[in-house]
Amino acid sequence: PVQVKNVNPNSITINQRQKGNPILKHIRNIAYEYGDCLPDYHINPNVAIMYLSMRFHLYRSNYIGAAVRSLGRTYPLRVLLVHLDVDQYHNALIDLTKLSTLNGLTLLVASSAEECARYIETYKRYENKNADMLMERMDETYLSRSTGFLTDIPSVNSTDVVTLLSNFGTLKAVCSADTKELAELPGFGEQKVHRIFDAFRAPFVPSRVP
Amino acid sequence: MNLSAVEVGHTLLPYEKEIFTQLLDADGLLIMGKHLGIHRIVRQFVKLFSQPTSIVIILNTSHEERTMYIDDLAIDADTKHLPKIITNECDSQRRSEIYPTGGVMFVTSRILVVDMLSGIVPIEHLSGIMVCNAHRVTEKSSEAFILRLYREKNKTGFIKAYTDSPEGVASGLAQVTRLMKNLFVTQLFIWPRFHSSVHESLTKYTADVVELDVELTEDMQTIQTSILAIHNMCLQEIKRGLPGVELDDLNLENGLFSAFNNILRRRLEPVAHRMSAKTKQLQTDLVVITRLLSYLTEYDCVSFHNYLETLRTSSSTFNQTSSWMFQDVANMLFETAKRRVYYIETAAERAIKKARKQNSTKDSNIYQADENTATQPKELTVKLEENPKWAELAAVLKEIETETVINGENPGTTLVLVSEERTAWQLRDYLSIGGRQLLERGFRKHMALRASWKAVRMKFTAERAIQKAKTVPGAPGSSSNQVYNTHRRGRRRYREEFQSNDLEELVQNARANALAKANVALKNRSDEVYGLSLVPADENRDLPAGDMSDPEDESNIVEGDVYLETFYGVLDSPVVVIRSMRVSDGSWHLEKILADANPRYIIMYDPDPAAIRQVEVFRSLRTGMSLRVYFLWYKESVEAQRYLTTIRQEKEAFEKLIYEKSRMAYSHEQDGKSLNFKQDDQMMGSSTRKAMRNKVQATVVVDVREFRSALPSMLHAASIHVIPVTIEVGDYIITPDMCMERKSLSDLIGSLKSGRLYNQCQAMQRHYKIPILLIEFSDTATFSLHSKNDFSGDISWDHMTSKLSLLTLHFPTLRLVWAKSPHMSAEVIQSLKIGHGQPDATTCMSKRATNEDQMISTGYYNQTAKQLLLKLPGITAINCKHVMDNITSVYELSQLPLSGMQALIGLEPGKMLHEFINQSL
Repeated sequence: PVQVKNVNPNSITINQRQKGNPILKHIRNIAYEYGDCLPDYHINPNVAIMYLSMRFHLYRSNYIGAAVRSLGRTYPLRVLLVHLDVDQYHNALIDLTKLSTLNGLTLLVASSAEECARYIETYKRYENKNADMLMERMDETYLSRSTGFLTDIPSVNSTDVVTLLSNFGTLKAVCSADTKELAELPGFGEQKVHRIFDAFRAPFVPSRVP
Repeated sequence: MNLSAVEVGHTLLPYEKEIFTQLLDADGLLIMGKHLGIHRIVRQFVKLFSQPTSIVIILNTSHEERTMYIDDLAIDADTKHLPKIITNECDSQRRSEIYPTGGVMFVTSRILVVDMLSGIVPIEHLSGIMVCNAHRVTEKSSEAFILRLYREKNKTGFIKAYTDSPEGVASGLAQVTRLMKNLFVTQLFIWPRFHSSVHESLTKYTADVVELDVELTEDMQTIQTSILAIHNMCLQEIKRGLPGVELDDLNLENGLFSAFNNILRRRLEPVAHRMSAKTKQLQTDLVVITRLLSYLTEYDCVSFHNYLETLRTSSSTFNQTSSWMFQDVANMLFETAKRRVYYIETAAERAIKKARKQNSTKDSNIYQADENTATQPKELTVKLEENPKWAELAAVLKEIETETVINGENPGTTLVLVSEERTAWQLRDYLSIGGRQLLERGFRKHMALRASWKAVRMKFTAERAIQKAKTVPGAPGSSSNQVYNTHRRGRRRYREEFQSNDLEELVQNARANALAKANVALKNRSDEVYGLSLVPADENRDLPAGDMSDPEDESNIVEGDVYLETFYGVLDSPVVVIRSMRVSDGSWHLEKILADANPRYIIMYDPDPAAIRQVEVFRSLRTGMSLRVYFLWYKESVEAQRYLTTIRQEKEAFEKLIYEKSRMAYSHEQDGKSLNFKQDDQMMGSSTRKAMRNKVQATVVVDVREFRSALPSMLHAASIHVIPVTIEVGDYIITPDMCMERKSLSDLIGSLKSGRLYNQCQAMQRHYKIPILLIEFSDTATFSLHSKNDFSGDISWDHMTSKLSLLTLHFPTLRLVWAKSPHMSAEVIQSLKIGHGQPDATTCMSKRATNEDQMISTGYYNQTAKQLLLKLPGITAINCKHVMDNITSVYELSQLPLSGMQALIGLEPGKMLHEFINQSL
């Protein structure tokens, strides 16, 4: 982790050379101050962001290689934020992809100045957030679990969930419904009926079925 | 002469012989009109090649199609070497044994690609490949990849492609030219219905045609108009919300098809990942509204009303902002649909309505509401409006019967053709018990459903309130809903009405009154006040087939599967068979119905222009007996409009194809026979001289499940050797250190939500030095996750920027690749490979995601069923294997008693599961 002098832990430090970058006016949800730091944006001692405008890159393509090299492996997370501010960039993007992959940088691609700013803000806001939201969450209510269960079947939507539960009452009855009972339900075409019936009756082990 | 089903199948009409001969020696694409019988041509080829000396592979068929071809040939005495089917139920050892045995093989495309790359298909010895449903083949599809692999090694075998969807091929610019390039064919055969040979063949023997116009009831017309207005409203709203997207030609006319929804989806695809929640909801709403148009005429009035009520219930339960429901015109829709079933009003209100209908003058005195009306008792009128076509059908059947009696002929069969299985049951019920009974049974069910809907809403609202109390702003689930003022007003209105117990009370009273008097038989159709029939509300009672309770019905109704031969000569009146055409299937289904029924009369209850062609073909083959066809139309309805538009669209498609054919230019290399595909296998090495010495073939190890996507094909086209293997960690192993997980946009969104991506990243990180996440856009999609307007508010978890930031914070070693298209993905992979070694397939296979996944990913378990199973509370990734080993299916699991479930997964989990499954509202 890299320490930067005199830095307020609640704000990010922006390198002086970023002054004049049009994305700065869109950074509104976090505090920032200019200072002396290695990357363009020092979020905290663990997270650094390098900004690159594609337009600039097409004009001076040797800049970023040098910048990346000087950053080295100083921060655990080093982000290369590429702003797609031109229309043609195909080969350049492939090169930047290779550069970031082989130098341990996380490549982000943004299509607007607002989006660039948003990434910067979000990294600060989420810096101490745990990974719970990325992990499988167990829905607690009967509503969400039964909906989650039934809508896992292709072509079943939330209206169908209401139809199934109000007509059959319990999930047990829904699982037992035969094709005729399902086909009588309004909104249930043949494809839906078969998909639902097959989903419940499909054997877990196909090869075992005689 | 009556032809047996087999003979009908195997005799070719003159134009069919012509088509067969044309295609016999060619590498070509055949485009026929829908339902003209393309399957008959394909069947002839299947028969031709069903011998051990040929090896022919057929792609792109559905399960039903394959079964049909094989069953037909099984009966045919001439065919000894029957076709085989190869799907994922066949393991690779078995497959490698089947391929060399010859004859015709139906193979799933994804599996064939893998087998071809693995070398177990004798490509050089293939006699040919046939591609059905060719309109679905694109540059990126597996079929194009297969044909390229085929032509690389085999320059002599044939390629034949078939489709009966001219619209599917004519929709783009020069699409058929591109299609032919992807299929490696140089000849195009176009056979519409209006082709002179076809016309000549089919008009030799004609059928007697009777067209009957049926009027929609006044209420049905009102509903139809309302739905069309709502549809237009939603469409305009979408257009307004997406100014950049080309939607100008989308209007009401092509809005009358389910195809409309596909067209809309395709147009919106480039911006689909960036659409606001409101627009997404509108798109879903349009799907529903388009269907409502069909349901109006297909469903009986009670089912239609039920469906509308379910829509309203689900909308308020799930807090979805389907704004159309709160417009006035929607109110008209709901009210009128209800009125077809019942209405509650005072005597004075009824009188006013009657007067309003009869008088055209707006005499205000008559309409002045009396002060007394508020205090007058409300009365229930159970109207139960019957579908107008029912009576018409009964009349036609009567007419046929009378005629048969007069002619004294041997009564044949009357075939009633409907488009949906549901309609078939409806008509069988109607002809057995009559319209009134049918609707009453439905009405009783409606009463029961009202209680259920109330319970559903109450339960879910209560749960949501609890959830909301727990959540904090900014957390998932409390994202901003765009709630309109009208929305709130409407919801209150709806809630009040829905909770009113008027109907329940009135029905109770009616029942009580009827009990006090006597059973009231309900044959009368005028709008009088009824009590309800006292036939016990036993919805589970099976309706007896052929019940003679309705004096109008004197025919014998036969349930679908009974063979008719047993009935010949026994009955006096014609046997009535009701079958659904299942128009979504190919023409063979209808051919079979016609052959089995062998009707003298056909009633097209749901007219379909394509289906009529099969009838013509049938008539031309069955020359011995005359045929009369009745068409039942709803006058001035969506149904009629749809029919005409279908015909017009197909005609336009063919005209476009004919024009394109006349101007087509193609290179002589198009058939791939003279092409030298690979100049040089791509060499790896730092300099050319070194490369000459160390000639190593560039390879990438690819998970077999990835072969549905276009990237493997792109890699192959870039001269990279693709090795298909079942791997658990990652999708593409590029170098011994680099592992790549490919996510399309929708996959990315989905797997971030479900938590799958987190697990995948963990696994990749554990086994490989450089884990890579490939975010692949489709080349039609806009290459950006957000529009700049999305960021006007504060940071929200709903944004992809938030999710990706958090993901990369927790996986700092994860590298990201952003590709505009599969082609670009291939380029990136190529660029990353330079200077690195080749991955080893065996090492990749050995890497496990978790211990339990060992058996699970080798195709032993049904993945879809497993996924559904895991959604159940109490089931975890750990115990699901045990469940799958001991229980057959989700259904079987649901039937277990508490003890059974606990024995399977433990006391607590078993209790959770049992409670979930058996909880009633």
